[in-house]
Amino acid sequence: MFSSRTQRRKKKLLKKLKKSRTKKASELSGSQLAIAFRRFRKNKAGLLGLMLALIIFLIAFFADSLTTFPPLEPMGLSYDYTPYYLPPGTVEGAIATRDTGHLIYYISPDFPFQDGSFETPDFVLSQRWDVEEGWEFVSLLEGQPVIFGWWAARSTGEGILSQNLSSDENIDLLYTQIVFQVYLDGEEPTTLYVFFTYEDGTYSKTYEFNIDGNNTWVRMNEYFYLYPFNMSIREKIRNPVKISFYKDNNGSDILLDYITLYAGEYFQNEHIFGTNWWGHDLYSKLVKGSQVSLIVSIGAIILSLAIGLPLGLVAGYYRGKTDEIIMRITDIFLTLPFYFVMILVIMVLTDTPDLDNLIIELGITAEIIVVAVLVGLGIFGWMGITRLVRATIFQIREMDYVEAARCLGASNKRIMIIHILPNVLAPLIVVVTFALAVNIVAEAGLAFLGFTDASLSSWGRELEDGVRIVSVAWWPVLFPALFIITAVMSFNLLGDGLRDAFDPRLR
Amino acid sequence: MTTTEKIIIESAPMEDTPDTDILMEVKDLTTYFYTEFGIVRAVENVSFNIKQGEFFGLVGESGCGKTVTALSCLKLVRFPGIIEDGEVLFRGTDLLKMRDKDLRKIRGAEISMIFQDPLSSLNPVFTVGEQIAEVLRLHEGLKKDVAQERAILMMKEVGIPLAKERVDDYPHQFSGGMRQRVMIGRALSCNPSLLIADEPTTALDVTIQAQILEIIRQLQKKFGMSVLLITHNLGIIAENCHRVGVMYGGYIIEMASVEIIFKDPRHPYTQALMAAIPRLDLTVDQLQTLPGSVPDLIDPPSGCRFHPRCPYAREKCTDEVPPLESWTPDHNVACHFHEEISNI
Ligand SMILES: Nc1ncnc2c1ncn2[C@@H]1O[C@H](COP(=O)(O)OP(=O)(O)O)[C@@H](O)[C@H]1O
Ligand SMILES: [Mg+2]
Repeated sequence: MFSSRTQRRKKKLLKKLKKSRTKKASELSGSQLAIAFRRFRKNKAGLLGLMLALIIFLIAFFADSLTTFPPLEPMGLSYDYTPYYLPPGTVEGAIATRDTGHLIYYISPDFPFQDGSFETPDFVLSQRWDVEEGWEFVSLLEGQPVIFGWWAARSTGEGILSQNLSSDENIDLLYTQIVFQVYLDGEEPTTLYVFFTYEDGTYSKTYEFNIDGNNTWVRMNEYFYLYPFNMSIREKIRNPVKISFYKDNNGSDILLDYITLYAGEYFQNEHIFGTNWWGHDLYSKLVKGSQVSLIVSIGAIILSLAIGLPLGLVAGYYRGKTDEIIMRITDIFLTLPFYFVMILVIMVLTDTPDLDNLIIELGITAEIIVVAVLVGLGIFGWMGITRLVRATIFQIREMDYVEAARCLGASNKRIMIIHILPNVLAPLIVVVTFALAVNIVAEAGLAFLGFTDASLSSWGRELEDGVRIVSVAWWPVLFPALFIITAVMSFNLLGDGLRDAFDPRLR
Repeated sequence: MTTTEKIIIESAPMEDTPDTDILMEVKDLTTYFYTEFGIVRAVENVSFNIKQGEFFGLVGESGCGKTVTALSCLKLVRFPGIIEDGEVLFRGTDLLKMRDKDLRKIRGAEISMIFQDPLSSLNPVFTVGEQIAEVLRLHEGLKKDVAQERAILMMKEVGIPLAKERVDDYPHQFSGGMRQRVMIGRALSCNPSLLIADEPTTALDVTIQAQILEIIRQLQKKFGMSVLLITHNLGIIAENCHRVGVMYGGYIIEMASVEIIFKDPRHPYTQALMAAIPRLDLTVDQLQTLPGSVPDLIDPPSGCRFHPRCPYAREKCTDEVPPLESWTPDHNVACHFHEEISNI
């Protein structure tokens, strides 16, 4: 008689056996890809790589909602009270307007305002940042009286435009004092009209001023109601106000100038990674920068594939002279020193005056740089793919199934696309994953060499910024480097895992 | 021993004797490979014909040019191989002069071919059903689902159990024998008039070999097609073929009906093969009765390629290539002295 313990053991063993058997059966079913996938699932390092890679992609995808500060465009303005490169953990206030990115400036919570108050405002009006004309003496109509010097937001010196930031408790509207100067050349008294309109046209208001024309500057200091009652801050932010100034010219109004005021919201956040050389929130910039980094490296791979795959297929399948020519082109590209060529391109793009002007005229500097880096990486990245595809095809075309397909009447094109290409796919997936890692490093390298634009944020660019001040601050170097290392490592782990999964020797 | 005798006695049953219309006639086929080591004279002046419904065997040592002959017939020799000369008349038209486009319509539909290694003859990334259906879609323009139905029928035809369930399985889920069945099903799906089977059972073990050959034989009878069976196994020849061509060093050196080849071989090489008959289970490659080795086809022996190993070799044999001559109406031999050589 068996003891109950032995019986139990036996049962357990049988159960285990059964489990392993069913597992084996399921392991063998499905396509090559399905099998590879199942094997990949058991690869811990590969899974880790996949997870990290997915996280990075998610970060890039949801970058806009993940940022804690609007990723700033460099302002080139120095506010004396804003310390650069704040260490991780510093809390700062900031003002964001509707078009986030047009953040006006950071405010240290403990910094006293011009008026001596320590109170942080909850609402600020500002002129749109990129309307540079607003800062200068501008006349829209030549020979006409000039309105100039619009200054939005809390002013520094002799406030030309300043606001009363506090709204009356009883009247929920913004009561703003706008100071403006008008030069009038006529002798006769004139009427000056000031129109307030919202962008979407839902609100408008007109003010009228009578001015004695006396050929001098007229300084006016008037209070305006910018927003109606019961308007929430969100709505105010959504509704920039356009203020137009008209002069009555014997019945026909003449537009003197206009200004658009953007409401901004004050908020306060922690710089978890500190700030960079410009005082921008490093975390937000890196999160946002993942988009450029990934777009460039993925785009470059797509370009490389578009060039390399057909060339490899053609070279591998037709062999002979075709192969010879394609391989020599590949060799030529392989001998070109990548960084040297790219530096030449930088010089051409940045130092040639004509092209420079062209870029400024087109106003797409950042995009051009992104595209240039993408194209550069793509053009220098296809050779490996061509060689791999060619070598794989050399191997596959000797397989009997290609011969068998030919025997059964399949055409060259059909054999290439139906029978050879799917078999090239597996090694290609692996190579593409590794290439992703290489491209991220190369993009960072190029940014580091200066192949970037001031308004661009990518991991490589942040690293480059950080290196400039590495002697005084460690975080602007460490965090971009961590992002790059994590991305490269995850893609490499993923590539390794995929290679193991597809490797026929393990099958 | 007993099986051997049985094979000889039972070989080529007379009621199967095919009608005499010639389906394919190969004339003076010559194929060379231009390799960096030199010109490989793989096939030289090979002539033979296959009649309607006939089971024709091609036997010879490994490397004697059997596969290249078969591929040349379908104009499938690829660079660096070049078909130098010859005609392959299929129903009277020369396949070698055909345009590629027209030739593709013949391959798979009129003439099909199966290979030695069923493991690598199927594309690992497609299901077997897809691969059989591919041929049907290619040649008969069938819709996907119709082709799939036909593929299942074909799988049943070649004796794959549970064809309906297995049609969506991938090649690696099949055993070698089952894969070869799939290959046969694939090759026969468009009902070709000629099946070229290049060592269809070499990679399989013995019991499976018999099953596969049985299926080929059955389907041959059922569809009335001709078969060109390439092998290096004399037992397979004896059991299946009506007529046989014996190849040596790129030449066909003897061609006759199976009975004659086994009972009255005229070429010294064939005779040497037959001398090994008691051990018929051995393949030709393992033949120990002959001194010397397989000829080097890059630098082949002058004259008769067999002469360095031939016990009857004389001066003429080193100078002149012996033509394939008619000894009796149904028996061709390529030996200068075949009349003198007595039957062993
Ligand atoms: N692609 C090729 N390149 C060079 N030589 C070849 C090629 N294919 C076959 N050969 C040569 O042709 C000869 C005949 O080969 P083959 O027909 O495959 O022999 P088998 O009778 O075993 O089928 C061999 O000597 C082989 O080396
Ligand atoms: Mg062969």
